[in-house]
Amino acid sequence: MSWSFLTRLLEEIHNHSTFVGKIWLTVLIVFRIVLTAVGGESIYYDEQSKFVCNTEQPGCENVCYDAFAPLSHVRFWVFQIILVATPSVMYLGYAIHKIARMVEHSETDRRIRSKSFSMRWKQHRGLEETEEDHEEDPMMYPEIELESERENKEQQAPAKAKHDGRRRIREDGLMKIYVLQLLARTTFEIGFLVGQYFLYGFEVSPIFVCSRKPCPHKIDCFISRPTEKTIFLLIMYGVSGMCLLLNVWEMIHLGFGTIRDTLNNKRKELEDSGTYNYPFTWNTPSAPPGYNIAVKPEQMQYTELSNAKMAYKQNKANIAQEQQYGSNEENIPAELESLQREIKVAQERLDLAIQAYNNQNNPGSSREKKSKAGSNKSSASSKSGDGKNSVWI
Amino acid sequence: MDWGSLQAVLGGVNKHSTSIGKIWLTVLFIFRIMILVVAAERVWGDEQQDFVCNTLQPGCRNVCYDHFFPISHIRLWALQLIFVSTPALLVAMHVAYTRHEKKRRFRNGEKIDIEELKNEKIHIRGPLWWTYTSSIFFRIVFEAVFMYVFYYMYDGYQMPRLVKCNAWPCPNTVDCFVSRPTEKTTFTIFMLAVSGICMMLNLAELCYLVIKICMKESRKTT
Repeated sequence: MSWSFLTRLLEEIHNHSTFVGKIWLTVLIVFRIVLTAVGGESIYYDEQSKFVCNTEQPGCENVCYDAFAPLSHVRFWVFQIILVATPSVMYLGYAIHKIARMVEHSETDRRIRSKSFSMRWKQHRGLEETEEDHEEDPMMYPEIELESERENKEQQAPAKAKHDGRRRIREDGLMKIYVLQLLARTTFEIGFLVGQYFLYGFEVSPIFVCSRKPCPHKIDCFISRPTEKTIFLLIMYGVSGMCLLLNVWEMIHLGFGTIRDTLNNKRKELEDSGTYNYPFTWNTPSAPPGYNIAVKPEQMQYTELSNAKMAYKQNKANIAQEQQYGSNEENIPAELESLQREIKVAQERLDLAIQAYNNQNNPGSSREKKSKAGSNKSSASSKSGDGKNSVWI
Repeated sequence: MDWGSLQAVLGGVNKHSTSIGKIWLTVLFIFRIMILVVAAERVWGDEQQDFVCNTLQPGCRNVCYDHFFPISHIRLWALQLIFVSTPALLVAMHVAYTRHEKKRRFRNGEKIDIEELKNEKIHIRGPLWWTYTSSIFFRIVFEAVFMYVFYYMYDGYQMPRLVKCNAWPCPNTVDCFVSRPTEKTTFTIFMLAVSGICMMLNLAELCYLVIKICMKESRKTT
């Protein structure tokens, strides 16, 4: 087990990066890890055994080698690779955690919603089978139930979905952390480049003059393979510089992309402002609100129900439209909340209407209940007055 | 040293840990095991060959090396990593036992969904909470013990450049020189820092678990 663990993690990060991020990861793996593992091995294996000093004094070689290389090049590069890869690994952990939670939430929400709706509608359908004019009702239930089932299946499919690309990252709400890890990476990169310069300079000289105790005086020590080490050092400088440039490019890419996206969104919002604020869209065909009242005056509870149903349909159309024109990340949660509130309101109205209907049509109802029903009827009638208004949400 | 098998075992434990536990595991793999295998073993590779003493007396070098380095740092770190990873196995065993029990009940006729059983996310409560918490406690204890052993055995965390040796058969006090002392000191301090971070993570996880259970209890009573 050597570099395999880190390389496997880095490959996993591929699925959560932008396009430039993927290039950076590839450069990191191919140029740095492989070069360090392979080149470092073969060039530096005899760095101490072939470090020869011009003295017979025992211990002088050890001491001079220690003075020459407090930290060997290879170990320095190992630290560099690990520390530069750490922000990405942290981001991966956070992204997976957050996405898993998002999937859980949306699954439970959908399950709750679909279950409650299908229960209510089944109940409603059973009660209303005696009624005649309900062509639209049976059409509504299967369509909506099927939809919710389909959505459930979609949600369950993709643990391995890709969350890469700038837009997807923003949709998932991970943009801030992504930028943070990018900045951390860049900082580490710069820090290590500067450190490498101060520790090793740009060249490995063939001779090192040492005068530490117990060396008796100034002695020459000779380094093994200095030219090869110099070339390797310069290559690693180049690779670090390239990674730094890639980080800068990614920041620019994200910055310009964000600006472009916000401009596009603003343009789209301006275009839709007409239809956006309109509560009633012309896409969904529905009877005008007062129609059923006019046609069947004696069935007031049905009217109430159909009004509530139309209100619900209206809300669905609104939701569909808003989702179509997807807004910015910050606006989405607020809008979703308001939509959910509207749906809840419509749902409550449906419930009340069903209750009212139940109380009215209950065969074993006592007189009290009938009087209650009477009061309900009056309340329902008053509500139908409200119901008429409630359609225009 | 075969760290791959340890990694395979610990990877399984990952599924049943809290988030802090997962961070701890990542730190363990990347900053400790990986550094140990890829870098530290190279640094200590020639520690005996390049341990040079200012004497021609045969055997003196061997004896002096043995006197000053009873257990090499690398082996101590490997022991520390194994001891620190072992409590996690307790948790894995407990989870496996719970699953086994469920399977047995299923076979005896109770209606449990097998698909659900396989993918079930096991929550940390009840007896599993006790197992998990005691495993974290032992982890902390082992980390602390090993940190102290390092300090005691090598008189601090710095690798000396020169050691004076008097053991028989060395004729008198002899100067012996350690190879790569600065690099070894750097690695010792790095590994010490990462052990400290791991201990902090374990403490944080312990506090988190205790607070969670206290809040749950208080919610039940109110």
